[in-house]
Amino acid sequence: MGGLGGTLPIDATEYAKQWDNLYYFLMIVCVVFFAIVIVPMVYFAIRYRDKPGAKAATHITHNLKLEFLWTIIPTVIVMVIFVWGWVVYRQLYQIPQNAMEIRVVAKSWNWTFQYDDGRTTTNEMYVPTGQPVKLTITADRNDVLHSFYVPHFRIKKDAVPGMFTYLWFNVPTEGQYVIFCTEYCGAGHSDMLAKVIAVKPEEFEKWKWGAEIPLPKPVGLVGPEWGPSASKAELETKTETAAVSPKKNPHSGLAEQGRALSGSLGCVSCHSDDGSTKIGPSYKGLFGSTVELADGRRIVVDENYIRQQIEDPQSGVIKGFEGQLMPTYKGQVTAEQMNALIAYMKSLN
Amino acid sequence: MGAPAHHHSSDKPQEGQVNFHHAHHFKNADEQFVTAKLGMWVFIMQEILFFTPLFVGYFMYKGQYFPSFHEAAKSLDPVMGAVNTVILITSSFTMARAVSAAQRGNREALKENLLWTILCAIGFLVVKYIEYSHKVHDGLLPGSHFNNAELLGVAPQAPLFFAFYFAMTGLHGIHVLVGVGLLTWLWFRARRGDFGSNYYTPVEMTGLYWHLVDLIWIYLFPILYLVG
Amino acid sequence: MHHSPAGTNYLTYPKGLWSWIVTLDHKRIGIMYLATTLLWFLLGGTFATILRLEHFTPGQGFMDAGQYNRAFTYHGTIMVFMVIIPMIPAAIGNFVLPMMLGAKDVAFPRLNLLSYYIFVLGSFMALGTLFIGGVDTGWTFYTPYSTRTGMGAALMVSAAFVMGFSSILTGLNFIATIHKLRAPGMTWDKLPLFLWSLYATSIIQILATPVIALTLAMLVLEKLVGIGFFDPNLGGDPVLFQHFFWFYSHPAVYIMILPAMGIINEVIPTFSRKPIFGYKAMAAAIFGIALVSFVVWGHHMFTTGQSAFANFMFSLITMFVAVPTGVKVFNWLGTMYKGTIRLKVPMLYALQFLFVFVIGGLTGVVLATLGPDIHFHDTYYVVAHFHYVMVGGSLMAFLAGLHYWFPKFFGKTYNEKAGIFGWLLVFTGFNLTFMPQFIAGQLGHPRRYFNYLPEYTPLNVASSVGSLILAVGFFWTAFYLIYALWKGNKASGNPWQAATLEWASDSPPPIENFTHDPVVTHGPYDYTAVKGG
Ligand code: HEA
Ligand code: HEA
Ligand code: HEC
Ligand code: CUA
Ligand SMILES: [Cu+2]
Repeated sequence: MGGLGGTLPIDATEYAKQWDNLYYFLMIVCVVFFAIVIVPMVYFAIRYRDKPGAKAATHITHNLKLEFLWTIIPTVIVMVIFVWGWVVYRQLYQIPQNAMEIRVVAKSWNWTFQYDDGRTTTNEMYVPTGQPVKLTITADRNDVLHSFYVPHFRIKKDAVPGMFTYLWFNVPTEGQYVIFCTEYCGAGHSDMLAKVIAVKPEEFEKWKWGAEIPLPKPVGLVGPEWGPSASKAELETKTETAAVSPKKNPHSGLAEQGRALSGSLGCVSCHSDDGSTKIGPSYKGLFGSTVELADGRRIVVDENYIRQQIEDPQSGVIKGFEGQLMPTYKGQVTAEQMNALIAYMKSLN
Repeated sequence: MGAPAHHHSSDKPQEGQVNFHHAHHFKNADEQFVTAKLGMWVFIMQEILFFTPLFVGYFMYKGQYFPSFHEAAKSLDPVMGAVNTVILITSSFTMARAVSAAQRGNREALKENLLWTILCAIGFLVVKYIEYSHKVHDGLLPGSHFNNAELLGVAPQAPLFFAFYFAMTGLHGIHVLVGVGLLTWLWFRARRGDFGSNYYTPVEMTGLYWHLVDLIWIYLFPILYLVG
Repeated sequence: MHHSPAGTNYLTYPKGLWSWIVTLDHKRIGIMYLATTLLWFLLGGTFATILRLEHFTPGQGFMDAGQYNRAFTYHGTIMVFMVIIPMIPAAIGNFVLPMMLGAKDVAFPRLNLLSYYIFVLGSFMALGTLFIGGVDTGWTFYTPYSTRTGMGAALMVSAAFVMGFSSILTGLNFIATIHKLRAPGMTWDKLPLFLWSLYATSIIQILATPVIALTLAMLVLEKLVGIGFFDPNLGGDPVLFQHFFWFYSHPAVYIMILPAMGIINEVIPTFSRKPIFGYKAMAAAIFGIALVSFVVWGHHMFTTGQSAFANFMFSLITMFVAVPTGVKVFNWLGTMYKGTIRLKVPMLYALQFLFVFVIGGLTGVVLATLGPDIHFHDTYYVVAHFHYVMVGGSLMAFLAGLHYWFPKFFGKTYNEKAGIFGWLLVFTGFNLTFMPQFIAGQLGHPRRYFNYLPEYTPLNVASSVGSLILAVGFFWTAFYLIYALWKGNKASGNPWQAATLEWASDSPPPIENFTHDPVVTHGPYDYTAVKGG
């Protein structure tokens, strides 16, 4: 059962445990300050109630010492809260180097997950237990905002059209955990559910190779399992309709798809993958490097930078390539293709 | 502004004054005047904030898409912009003269200066109209209406630039248009003899408004046309 | 000039419907605002009740997803733009502000009437959207959804734009009035705290509302002519809209709460027969809150992918709002300490305000904390938080004010027992409606969900039952107040023995507020100077 008498979902990750500790502290602060206000309030209302023979009000207009105290004490407490909140939250930014990457594309109204090996699933995300997983989240430019939320992990991040955002988690125990869309996205918003399916690394390896594996137990939000059986049925139907593409081809990973795209979109005519400069700079060693732009800005190459270069090359002309113009590919590359192209570039490091 | 106003509401109007009674909830005409002026300043404050999202948005995108914006800005006509700047500054000058004429109770000078101000404002709008029609002709329109392949090739974010160009100058243009309406209304009232040295609040308030409109242009011009 | 003939008051003279339609009297305009906003409250509450009825069961009940989404959009938009923002300043404030100052009217009476009609125009535009397919964006109008859904959104956003100007003009009017029309002797340090809070509110209205107005105009342009400020397809940034939106809408929550706190500032001393504790600290706290409110908007956007640094700063600054708010809360307690407390209906609502607002405020601090908000953002926890502050805070304070000034407004008294019964219903219903939503939020129940996992059913049912009790409470309140208008006993000029100037006049007041121009000789909370005090 989850914390606070089962009013929190089970804390499925280390991060969630730390989160819960912070929240317990916050609840204590809330209860204490609520009592500090309400107990005297009720007491005064009864004790000084005007009844026949009640004493006339005492004329008190201020008390510097008290006023000082009730300014300083809350200040100190909110600072403690803030720092603790930051310490917990900061972890979401520190994505472990060895994290396995899954690209999340939110659409109205389903979730697509792209794995390094080229496999794509819909509405169910298989992950190995005990292994940090990094999510690179985005939505198509033509789509709307969505938000990726796993209550058991206490994590959430918006999917913004035309932008990449990041999140990570590491779930130690097997189970199925619900994923909600928490940014309002229209008629299908409340049905835009998916699930994280955490399985042992060995099982995960089997799944990668296309084998059927036994599903772990769904972990409930209110109770230890999905509550009434009705809800179980509902989520499972969703999984059935969600087409998992089992076209597993270990030789055609996501990077490989990116290489193919680079050819079919004509990128190869200007970009090499071996470090030689054609019309444009080479992809080799590009990802994560620092490029200098013609206007003097220095930028570390990440997903957002690459997407911007592809969709709006003029917004950041690279030093040494001032005269050369790359055509814009805006509207010609889908979010999934973009992920493939980026995976390809990353693979050249 | 200017000389202190002499208000004698109950007395018979003297030379250059009009028959004016202050509203009942004010102690006297002075108080009414000062209150109106405070109200006007507050209004101007909100006007400035009204423009801020456009300025903030413009600078933000400009930072993000500098080359595009830079390239797109080149297709604005700084000469026309400069002509309009001169026109507006002149109009601010004639407006200030109108206010001081009103304070002195000089009805003829008031009417004359109002007329000049109106003419300048219309001149401004005419120049703006010419500029706009050039843009329309060249397909330099905002957002999805943009249709100038040549500029799009070198400045993919030109549609966004022109979105800001039209929104900012358009919003300013609407303010000029409102100003023309107000000035014309003042002119008719001045002709009817509504204003005198003891009552000229609407003239003064419109003056403040007009200086604001001028001021906003003084920012818009360099930001869009020059620094581009 | 227009002193009313003897025996008449602002309600009875001049006569006729037309005299109301073109009235420049701030009191009549206040009453017109009151009637209008209460009507909209009934409408917004109806939408809320529909939401709750649908949520008795998961899945499809009597409405489909599209209808549900429109229902919460109308509920939120009506409640925010048409009820809670204008309700206290424009309805109660309009009536009370000039009287507390000892003035005959607001500085610009014609502008005041104009604000009212602008508000009515905006309201009708908003409701007009019902006839062109409705709006389903939520009250936050986030792009790009709002630019891609039906055209109703364009009209709704224009309506909010129009109502924004009503709000700006009211603020302008109040600032000028407070500065220039104070009665002789009404120095700044004798200004009742209700006026200090209206003053701070007006400043927020002047500074923040224009920004949302133009942002909404940009959104309309985007929708109608595809101008592309916020459209990722045209190079725009959808998140920029959120920044602009919250730059206004966060300060807007203080537009809702500061006047409410102002009312509490009047009610608690009056019914404790004791001057307000820490007058200067109270006034300073109001401005502290107003000032800080401009630089915390990013706490609504912790999950949007804004930079870690921005999140850090916004969280940090938000924390500081708790301090001046705490000062106010503790000063209210200080005011009650050793008072002579009269538990009349306005005071009961004031105590309920404290009870509920503190819960709402403390959970606000939870939401301002970076880690927790990641879990709670866009869940029912946020819904519960803002109902605790908006319904529990602003609306309860409004009810306190309505009962407090009712005798002054209408010259009638309501039945005290009926009032206490209504208060009990509202108190119970409110907490039963929204307390379970905190738990649902903790368990991850997302907001704006037409369908929900069956596991959440018990919590939703509890909340829905609560909302029915709450609705009965409001109807009961409406009933005995309307009854009092006809059958209530005649109220005296100063039934609560309060010390602010509006009570020095008759109930209801004559047409220019006072039969003799008032001169201020004592402080606003100096009950020794009041007969019977
Ligand atoms: C009347 C309106 C009102 C008021 C007064 C407040 C007050 C506060 N709000 Fe709230 N808020 C809303 C209306 C309001 N809010 C609305 C409408 C939304 C959602 C909009 C939407 O998304 O639709 C929202 C959402 C919202 C969020 C975003 C949540 C999310 O979407 O993820 C946050 C985060 O920081 C927040 C914080 C706060 C804080 C810190 C206060 C503070 O001002 C509270 C201060 C008060 C106290 C703290 C209590 C009294 C103090 C003491 C007893 C002293 C001791 C205290 C301590 C030691 C902590 N609010
Ligand atoms: C001040 C603002 C305000 C007020 C008063 C309320 C009042 C209520 N709200 Fe709401 N609410 C919002 C502001 C407000 N709300 C906002 C901003 C949202 C977000 C919308 C969005 O997501 O976009 C929201 C969303 C919201 C939701 C979430 C929907 C979702 O996310 O799916 C729910 C669900 O339960 C809800 C319920 C209620 C209920 C039961 C009441 C009850 O308190 C209502 C009871 C009232 C009545 C039944 C009417 C009775 C009135 C009279 C009889 C008139 C005369 C009265 C007198 C004289 C006293 N509200
Ligand atoms: C006509 C030649 C041309 C084609 C075709 C082309 N590019 Fe480019 N690309 C360039 C030039 C020139 C630059 C450097 C100048 C600039 O940024 O505009 C560049 C820059 C880049 C960069 C930034 C590299 C760095 O060092 O920072 C990336 C990433 C990129 N291109 C990807 C692509 C992809 C993906 C495609 C195909 C979908 C593509 N390009 C097609 C010419 C081209
Ligand atoms: Cu997708 Cu909500
Ligand atoms: Cu806020």
